[in-house]
Amino acid sequence: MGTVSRALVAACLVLAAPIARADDDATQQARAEFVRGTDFVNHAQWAEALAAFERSAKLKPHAVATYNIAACERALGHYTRAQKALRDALAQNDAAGRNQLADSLVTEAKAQLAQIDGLLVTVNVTLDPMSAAIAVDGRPLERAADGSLVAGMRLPGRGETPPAPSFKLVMDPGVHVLTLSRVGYTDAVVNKTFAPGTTTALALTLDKLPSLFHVEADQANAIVSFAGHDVGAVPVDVLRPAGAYRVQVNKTGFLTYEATVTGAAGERVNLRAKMAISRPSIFTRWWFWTIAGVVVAGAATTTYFLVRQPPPPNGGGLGWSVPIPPSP
Amino acid sequence: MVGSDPAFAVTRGFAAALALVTLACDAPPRGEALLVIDTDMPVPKIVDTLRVDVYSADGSTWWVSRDIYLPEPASWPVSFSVYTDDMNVGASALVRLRAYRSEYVQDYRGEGTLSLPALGSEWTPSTLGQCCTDDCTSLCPRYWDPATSALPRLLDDQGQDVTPDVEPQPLVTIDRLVLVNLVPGVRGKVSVTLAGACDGTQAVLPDPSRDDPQPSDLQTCVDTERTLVPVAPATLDPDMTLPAPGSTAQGQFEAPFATDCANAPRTPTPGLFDDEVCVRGGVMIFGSASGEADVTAPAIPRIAAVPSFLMNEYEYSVARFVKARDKVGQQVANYNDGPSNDATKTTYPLNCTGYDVPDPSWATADRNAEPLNCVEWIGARKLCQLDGGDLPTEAQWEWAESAAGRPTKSFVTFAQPLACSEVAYGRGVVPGMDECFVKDHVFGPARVDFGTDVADVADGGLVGMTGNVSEYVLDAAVSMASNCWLSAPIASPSCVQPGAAFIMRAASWDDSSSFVSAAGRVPRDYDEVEVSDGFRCVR
Repeated sequence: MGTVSRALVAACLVLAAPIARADDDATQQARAEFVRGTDFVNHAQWAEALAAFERSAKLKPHAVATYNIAACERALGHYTRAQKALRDALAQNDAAGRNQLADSLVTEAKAQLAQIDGLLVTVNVTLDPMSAAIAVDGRPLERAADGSLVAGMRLPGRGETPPAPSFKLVMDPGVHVLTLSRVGYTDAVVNKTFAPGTTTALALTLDKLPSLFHVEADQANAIVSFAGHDVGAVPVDVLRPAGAYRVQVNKTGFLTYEATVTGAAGERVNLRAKMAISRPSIFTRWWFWTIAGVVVAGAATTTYFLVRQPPPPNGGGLGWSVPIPPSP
Repeated sequence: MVGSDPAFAVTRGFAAALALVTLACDAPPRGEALLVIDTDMPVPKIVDTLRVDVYSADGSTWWVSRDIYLPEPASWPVSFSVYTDDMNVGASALVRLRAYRSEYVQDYRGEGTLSLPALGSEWTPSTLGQCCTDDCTSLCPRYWDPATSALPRLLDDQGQDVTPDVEPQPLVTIDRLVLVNLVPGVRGKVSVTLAGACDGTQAVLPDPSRDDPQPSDLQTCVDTERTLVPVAPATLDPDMTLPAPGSTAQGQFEAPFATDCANAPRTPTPGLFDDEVCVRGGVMIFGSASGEADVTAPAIPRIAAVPSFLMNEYEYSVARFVKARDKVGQQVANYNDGPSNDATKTTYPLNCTGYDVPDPSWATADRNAEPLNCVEWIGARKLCQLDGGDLPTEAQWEWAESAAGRPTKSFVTFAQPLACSEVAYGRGVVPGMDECFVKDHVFGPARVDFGTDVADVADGGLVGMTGNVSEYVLDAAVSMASNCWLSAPIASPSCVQPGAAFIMRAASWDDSSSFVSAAGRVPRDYDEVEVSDGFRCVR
């Protein structure tokens, strides 16, 4: 059994006397929980012991129960929580006329506080952007009296914006996950092992999210051109940096749909193109072209012999020919 | 019915007569050049789009810009033409051809931004991204007007600004200039192969802010890496026949890299997990747009060709370390503090797997099958060298994880929510990172072979590339924009600097599912050891 356990057993003997003299239900239950906690300690079941001592302390606040809570937290490696519980135990003892904790336990508590001070990790954190929310191991941070922020003290929950963009963070040594988040930015997740008693600097920076443009149309197989580039048939999702973009949607037999869409960082922009039917003009009628053909063929035959034209450009496989101005 | 209509019949008669007359008395052709464009890079893995820009011969006036999406291998060679309508005066055009993959574009910065250092130039520790300092090659705009900060613009016939919003990223683009002189009455073909060796070597156009741009200012890469030559007028082949379907050079650049391994994999030693896999090489776009979150620079993908190599099938095991320790002695520092399967130990640092005392309770069979962690980079390298190999370069690691054996590159990904049977992750006890907490094994990685528990297997049979322990690579933790990377060749690029912080890839057993990504580049200090970090070797 280690140092932590021996200290805890001593604390149990001290607590047993005052609780045994009480006779109300709460005291009886508190004592039962306390005894259960000590049993758990004897089997090195620290988490179960902690829960039992916390129930006991809630039913009947006592410096020894708080001291035992600190011992369990310390055994579990929760040094920031152990530190707070030790301070609370000493404060409770002072408030009760210094007769709840034996002098040896007071001395032991102060020694443990000094030891924990040497184990805790200090991280000088700088955030960018400054309004980002930070959480450590999935828990928001608790603000200490000296202005520093302490990890591991609060229940799991969303990160919170710290009071300043640069701050001192106090944590248990070991592996931690620091999560930085803000609307419009990608979450930054830093997974790092911190050695005991070290002080380090950590700059956390978020990158802006791109915008997601979702383009669809009321006609299937319409082709989307996004900022001048063909990006495929609808529906199509396009990721681009936040900003304004020109969108065209084309389909044979329909008028080209054009719009300018603007997306903010992290925003999903939905665009549904309503395709208007391209009304066939007279130029699409066969009889028009028959008549025109007769006229044009006659005219062309005549003109051809007056002004011969070269064959059309080749255009290659793409059928694309680029006219070049004559050299100056 | 149209076919029986008398008017239609008359029209057809006229048309036929006109055609006969035309054939009999054809006029001289326009001056025209048919450009036939092919590439020796694989399509669509490296190239799926052709960007065509047409300028005046001295590059001072921009006439046309078009992106042509060509993801089908059969679409290449692709062809189009430039011509002049003037039947008396010739014309010239500078055609800029850029082959690239469509998602690798950047905001328009002036059609020319990059000045690369020479191949093999010096190491610089810069981690800056787009910078203009001596130790970091400029990625800043080059063809802009310093007085007004204006970039060259493309105007249409009505004077409207139709400048493309984006342009191909230079480091993953084959950039070629072709100068065409058009002579009235002469047609001809110009065949151009966009060479993979030129991928990343940007062509040089004249600075438009100069008053006297000259054709002699033009330089382009033709077929030799990082080598620019003056642009001479193209010779026109009078045979205008288009190439037969399938007659393409695609893949020729990659073929010399995609060979069998020079050496056979070693015969595995029972219990050591020292099996090797031959990873056939190839060419890829190296890097990820989202992969450098922890290196203070944006990701700048580049082309990398990786020759075939042998790679450990499994992460380097404790059993291999135990066997090697006597040979390397104290050169390899390992930090061990006891067995990891003691359920009551839950505080730092109890997770190092290697052991160096003959205590049977520490040297369990499970421990021998676990990946070695808590070892310095130099120690890991020495252990690999002891077996005749080395740590993988970052390019080798990324190739093996995300490209080898696949038609296109994609980092190994898994469906979300990520199952514990897919990747060894979330095995710590920190809230938010304990999704795959293993009760009988409070902390630590899984066996390197995973048994039947986890299915993290990349193409080729490499086990645990995505999770279990993050893996060291040879290369230093600097931005891909640093001179060190920009001066590295296409073939086997690397940026190794012993003594500097280095790069680690992949996620580990103590990462949460949101951190499981093979694309990430995580820097580690040179002498840093972590319980989450291991390695595997290549040779």
